Amino acid sequence: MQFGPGFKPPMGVIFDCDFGNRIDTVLALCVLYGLDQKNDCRVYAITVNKSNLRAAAAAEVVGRFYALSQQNLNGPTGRVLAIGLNDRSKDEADTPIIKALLDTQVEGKPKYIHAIASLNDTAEPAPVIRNALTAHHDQNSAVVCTGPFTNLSATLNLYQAKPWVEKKARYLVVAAGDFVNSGKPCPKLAADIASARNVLENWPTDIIFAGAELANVAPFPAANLEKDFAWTKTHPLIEAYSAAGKMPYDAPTWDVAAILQAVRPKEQYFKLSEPGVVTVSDNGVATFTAKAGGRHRHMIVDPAKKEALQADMAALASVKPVVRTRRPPPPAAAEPPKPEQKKS
Amino acid sequence: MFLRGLGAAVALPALDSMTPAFAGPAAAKPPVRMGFVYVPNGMDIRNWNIDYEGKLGSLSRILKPLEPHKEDITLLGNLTHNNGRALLDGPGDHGRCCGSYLTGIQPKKTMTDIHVGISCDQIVANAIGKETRFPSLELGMDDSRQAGDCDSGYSCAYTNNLAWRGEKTPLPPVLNPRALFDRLFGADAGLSPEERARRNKFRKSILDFVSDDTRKLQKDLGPTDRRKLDEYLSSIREIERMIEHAEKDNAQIDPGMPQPYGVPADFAEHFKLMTDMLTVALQSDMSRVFTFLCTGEGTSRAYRELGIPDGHHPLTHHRNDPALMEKVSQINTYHVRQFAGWVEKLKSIKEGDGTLLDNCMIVYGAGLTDGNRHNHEDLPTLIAGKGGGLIRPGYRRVYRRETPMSNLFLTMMDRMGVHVENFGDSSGRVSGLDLA
Repeated sequence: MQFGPGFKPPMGVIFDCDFGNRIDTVLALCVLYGLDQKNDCRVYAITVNKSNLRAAAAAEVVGRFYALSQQNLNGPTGRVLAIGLNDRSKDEADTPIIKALLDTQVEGKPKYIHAIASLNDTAEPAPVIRNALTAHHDQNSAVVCTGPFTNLSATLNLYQAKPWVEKKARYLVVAAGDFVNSGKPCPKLAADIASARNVLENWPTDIIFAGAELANVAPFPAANLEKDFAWTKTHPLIEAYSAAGKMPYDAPTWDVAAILQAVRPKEQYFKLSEPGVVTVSDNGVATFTAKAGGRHRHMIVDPAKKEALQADMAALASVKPVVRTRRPPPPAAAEPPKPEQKKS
Repeated sequence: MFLRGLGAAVALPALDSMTPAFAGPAAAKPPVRMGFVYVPNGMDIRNWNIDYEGKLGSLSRILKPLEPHKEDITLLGNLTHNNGRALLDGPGDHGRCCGSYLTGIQPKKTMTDIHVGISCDQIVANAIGKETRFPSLELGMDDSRQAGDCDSGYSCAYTNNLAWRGEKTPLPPVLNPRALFDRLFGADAGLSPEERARRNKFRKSILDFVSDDTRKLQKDLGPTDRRKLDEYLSSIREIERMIEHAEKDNAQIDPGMPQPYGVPADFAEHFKLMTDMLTVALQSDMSRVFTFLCTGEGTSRAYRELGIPDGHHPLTHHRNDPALMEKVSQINTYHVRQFAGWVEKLKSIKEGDGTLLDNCMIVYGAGLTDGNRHNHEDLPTLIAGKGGGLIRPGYRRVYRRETPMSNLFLTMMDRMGVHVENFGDSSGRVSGLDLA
């Protein structure tokens, strides 16, 4: 995407998640696309850390919905991103969310389309994350991780990727740990301790933690679903939401908190701790120790913001997608004047 | 081994008599050659791609000329050059895609202070080039400009060179068949201007200058080697004849764009001349590394021989006009047809237990995927040859999306015995090119 000189585009966001496992990840992705639609950010990469091809396909379903390629089969559509998938050879289990997004049918045909039929239709996550960073203005992107840290660790290990992270990313926001119920292991960290430690020690930007204590502070209001989504009968969030729990229920918003902190820090939905250092124990317990000059902080609940948070989450998750006007095809490069043809 | 005459030298192919009778298999093993044939302005990708993986069956329209050789080629899918993308540098995909093609590095957007990276062919040439007369050969077909703006602020050095010896040092290709001929077979330094003028005046074959040596050698050869040598020297005479023919024809054909004297106006004829000479160079082990830029990137060459007077580059901005897209497909197919002809020639030359092609790995491809969209993912790419038995051709290998093209080049460097840990934006090696 190109802009005129001096113009800085909205912040780019790279979202690394274990899509399909929890409803708050689907909510987070929809809120992220909602923020993109409102020009608060641009979604630049989606990488999935759940070793299941169908998890990547389900994430693409959501992306295609916001690119309108679900709806306008023959009309204009937005850009559909390549989904990065961490393939660990052995498939992790399907979940009701994945099944709802991929297996729901209408008149004998899948309700939602995607183009992921084999592993080759997905990408290695680390190059995707590195490449997405290279496309940004300096300090104009954020990385959000709401699953295990495997993909971020692989990115750091990629040849010459760390300088790109340092140059292009403003911060990393992670939904991991628990900074109220100390001593409680975090499954996301426990899933790959080595990667978590590599990221915590070597990631070259500030890292902001959204701890598990934020998950149910401002749950997603199920009562609003019918009203907010009245404009459509086809929405992947509704499908996933209905499949993930017994309706009606208010969904946790752990991953959503991380997205909002990354894209709208000025809204101050959450307070931030003083700087410090987070370490991870062998069983996945994250411990925060205040330290001057530390590059880690964790988010703190602000009860005064609960209503605003819920209202904004509901509004962003239900944004009606529109396709931005596409750039016209590039003009022909200027041709040099042609000298007279030699004839002899 | 060379035949030498008055200021001229002709390299010889590998003859049986050059191999000691009791030499082991390793000593007789022909060398592996690595080369890159680059075509400009992307492809009409609809007509390049095939919709299956694995064993090659029916090929697409553009690839159809290679169908008789499908057991000798490997089609590759999903290779990407991220550093060909804008990455905040604005327009100029032609400059970027060519500059980054073999370097894996994003070229600096400039017309003066050029800067990119060392290309993979030169990394290999630096490592093994001392074993041959030429560490590498750089061939091209038009546009010799090395300065000025060739694409939205990108120097012509980026669009008109594939090989980069250093970050600021391109190796300009030889465009003129006569110049290539002189470089390969003539002793430029040893011939005085008077001798050169006399030779040209009488149009004497360069082989006449080495005739005494040739006669002496022929006496000592067995029948098989004598036949090999005859075929080889005949091919040099044929090239000389074609060059003379091209010089005469240039007076009569209007190519629609400037051409230096001695260069055939017809793309096919020019391509054949260059590849014929390249074949001889590979056959005689003058070099094991080459790049061939089939017209500069972004070229507006017209293809009147196909009845297409429009410039190639403007045509690729077809805005989905079927008539224009058809012409792009015709040009793309025409290029592949010439390449297929060369593949056939390489296959016809016996070498060791196989053919010359068997001991090559020649990448044919473009730095843009679709000339209309200017995209850099799933670049049209194939490899001809077996790389000396290190590659099993006859398949379409599709990698995961966004797989760096640099991974392929890193793997090819391995195959050449040059092991580099990282290259360009590589994230590893590519799989599926080995015999396993």
